[in-house]
Amino acid sequence: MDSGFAIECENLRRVFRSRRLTGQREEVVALDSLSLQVHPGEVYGVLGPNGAGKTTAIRIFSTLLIPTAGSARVMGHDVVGAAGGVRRRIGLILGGERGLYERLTGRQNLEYFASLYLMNPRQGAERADAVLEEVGLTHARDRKVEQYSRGMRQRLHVARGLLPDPDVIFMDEPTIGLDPEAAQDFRRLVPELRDRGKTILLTTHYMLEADLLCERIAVIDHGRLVALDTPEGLKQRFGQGQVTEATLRHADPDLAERLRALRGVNAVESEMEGAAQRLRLYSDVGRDIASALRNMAGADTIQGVVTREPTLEEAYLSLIRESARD
Amino acid sequence: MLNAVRSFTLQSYLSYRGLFLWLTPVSYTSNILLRPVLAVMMFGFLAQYALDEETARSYAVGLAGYSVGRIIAGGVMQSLYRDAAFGTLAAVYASPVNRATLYFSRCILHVPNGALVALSVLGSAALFLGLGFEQVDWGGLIAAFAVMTFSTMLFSLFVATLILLSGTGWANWIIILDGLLLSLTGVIIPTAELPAVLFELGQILPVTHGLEGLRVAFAGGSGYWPDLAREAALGLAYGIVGLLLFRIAEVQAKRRGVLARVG
Repeated sequence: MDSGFAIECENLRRVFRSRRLTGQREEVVALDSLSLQVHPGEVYGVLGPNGAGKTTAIRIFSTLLIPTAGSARVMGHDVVGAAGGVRRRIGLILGGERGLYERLTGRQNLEYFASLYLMNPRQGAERADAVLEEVGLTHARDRKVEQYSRGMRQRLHVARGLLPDPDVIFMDEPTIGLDPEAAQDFRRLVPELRDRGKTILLTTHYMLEADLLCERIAVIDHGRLVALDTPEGLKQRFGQGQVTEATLRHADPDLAERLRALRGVNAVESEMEGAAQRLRLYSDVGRDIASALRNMAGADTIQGVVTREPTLEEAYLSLIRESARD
Repeated sequence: MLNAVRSFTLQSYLSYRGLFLWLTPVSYTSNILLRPVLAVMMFGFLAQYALDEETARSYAVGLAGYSVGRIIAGGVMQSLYRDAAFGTLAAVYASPVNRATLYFSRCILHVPNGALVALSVLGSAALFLGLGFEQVDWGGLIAAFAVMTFSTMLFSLFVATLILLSGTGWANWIIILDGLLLSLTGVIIPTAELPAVLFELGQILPVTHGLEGLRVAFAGGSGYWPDLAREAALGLAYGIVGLLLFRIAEVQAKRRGVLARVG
């Protein structure tokens, strides 16, 4: 039954079983009752620490892994029962240096995969050229992949994911290894793809990328969904109000402790930079922490102070720490 | 239909170029040209020295069959196994390609290597050992090589699938297979002289029946078809079982989560 979601899963569970050298069996729960729904045309981020289950989820959605329990559908096709239907609708972009045919040129790699996606050779060649252009690899298309830099390989991974012109694109840490310019190009590409109606599920460790690109973000930890919201919503809910950052010319060892005692201050981070001290205070919205700081440290000691909204990274870290405490 | 053929041809060509690592000049020359010729010289001269001229020529014919089998096995096994080694298997499995097309496309372009090996072995045997071709039934000889090529291709795909299933390396398997082909298929030692268990094992290996047919054709006889039919049937059986195992290997990899990641 088609629910109208591009990607959805319900109570998805995946357990990896292995046997140690001692013969003892070991079980790792990679996903634990995960339920998600992604709308068609949405850019949906999945954040979480290493081992949280992000890649496992993408592998299940792309039919590369069979779930231990629960169900998952992509464009209405069950990933186990109708895997062929899923494969015809998806593109997969995975990070890393491997996964390409080193002895073939970039263009030949794509022509080969185009044939696996049932394109005839002429269509495949045209499509390969188009996506190489899209990722900025036209100049190196006839060079063997073994001569590619890491960033070029990553661009080729992206090109391969776009090759079948899929409805749904899974991107697992797609900007790993890209230089800042290439990463920026990629970040420009994602909204373009969304404007073309593609649904994108993106995992990343770069918070700025998630903040910039994703309409909604799911944070998962230990295989479980711990939060789901828009980037702004996550910042508001988990970013601990507002952030005040200050630099003191001379370190004051007791100041952090005294600031922590202030009403409305939730946390204080302090670090030394030579003789100077950098402070980051998380407080409730509306508190005039900057004035309090000036009074306590002395206006002359403060080199600079700024109050801002929390970043997604701060919200994320707060959320993950909270999840670890639970 | 035409598109399917074109697509199959492209898959065959690019998988051959991308996965068959003996395609560099040094590897190609040493594996496909020099190694078989040196094997013929070694066994041929040994037989000439220790036994007689006729035995040396008989070894040469046997080594021609074995060398074709070996080179095809080495190439085809690489072309399937290396997808796992290169980390490309997951990307291949994530595609909607027909699995039978994918499976069989990995062996076709190894056929010319087999033909080249047969020519170089027989040519060097003629040059160094005085192997004569006066009595040869050429139709039978070509058919014997064609059938042995067919059966070793499908057998090699089958073995490569076992490698995928077991998660082991390719090099160990080619060494074992090489030894089995050389010792149990009648290349040097007549199969009838083998202990019963080894004889039976030889009967289910490729090359054994084809080689018997090849020897008949080489001697100018015409009764090679039953042996060649047995060789072809064996190859077909390995083809069918291998394809089924390939599907099972894919499901198992997804169930166990052992697919080498794509990147």
